Amino acid sequence: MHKNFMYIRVMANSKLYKGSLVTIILKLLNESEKMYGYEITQKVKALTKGELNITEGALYPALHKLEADGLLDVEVKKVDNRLRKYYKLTEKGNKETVNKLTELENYIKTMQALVSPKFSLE
Amino acid sequence: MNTLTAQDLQFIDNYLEHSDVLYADIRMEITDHVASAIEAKMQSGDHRGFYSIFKDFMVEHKANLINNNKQFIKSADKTILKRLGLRLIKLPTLLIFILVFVVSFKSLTYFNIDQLKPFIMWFPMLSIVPFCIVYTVALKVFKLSRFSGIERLAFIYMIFFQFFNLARIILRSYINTNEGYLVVAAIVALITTLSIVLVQLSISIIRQYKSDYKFV
Repeated sequence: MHKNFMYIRVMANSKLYKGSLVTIILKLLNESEKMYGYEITQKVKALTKGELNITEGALYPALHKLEADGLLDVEVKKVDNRLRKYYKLTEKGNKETVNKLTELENYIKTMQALVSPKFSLE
Repeated sequence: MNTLTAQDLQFIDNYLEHSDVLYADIRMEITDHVASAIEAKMQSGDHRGFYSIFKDFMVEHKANLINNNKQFIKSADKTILKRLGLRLIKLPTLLIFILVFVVSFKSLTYFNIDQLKPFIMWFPMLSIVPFCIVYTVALKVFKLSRFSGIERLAFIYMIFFQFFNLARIILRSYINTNEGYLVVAAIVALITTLSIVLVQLSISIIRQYKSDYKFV
């Protein structure tokens, strides 16, 4: 999986974003009922104002792995003359999203404490 | 809203198939991705036409898109193995094993071993051959699309084939000794149970594909 993270193309410092792809996907799917691959790439691009650009080579393997792990469920629909594969969170996926987000929040708090510590007289 | 025509979509699909994206389920997802990207370009005011936009998009993204193929196959294998494992630990599977074991043991002690020998020797092949015939006919005669999940079942069948072949070699050495009846019955029960589970799994995967990809 780490190998795939190398394909996340970012405008800012890429090292800071590596390892967050799964959390990003789970978070986006948690906010929508279902999403398809291209939609996820565009949503990430729009939310980060073009800072983060997830490539297909990183996104689809991650989606397929999450599906194989039972975190995502798929639904195929016919849209505009073609078939579209939608992904949605399973119950296990919902739980994993909470875990991943908590993990990320803790990481951010720790980093904040390290980068800009609040000084106290206590 | 600019939407691609059926011919444009077929062109993308053919292009991907010729680029070794052989499985219909993987190709379908990549085709949708490429088509969505091209439509977005057209929507944003690019008036160069489908072929020019497609060509430029593939120059930039082809390597990434094709790379997706390998992980998909790994995920398909993982899903199949997981489903197989879940089926193996179910109570009905254990009951089948016990039933076949008892019937085999009784048969071995009741019938003349020499009459049963040819059947037992070829028994392991029975689970593999029907699947190979059905799959070949489906592909060659009915020209059905190749789906990763179904085709990767062949990988599982190959593992089982090797295992059954090993069982056959063990059977050969035990079959002539009276003390070996228990072992022979256990191996026959194991092969039968695994074959039934494998056939059940194949039917369940094929049904799932038929339901998920009912438009193909």
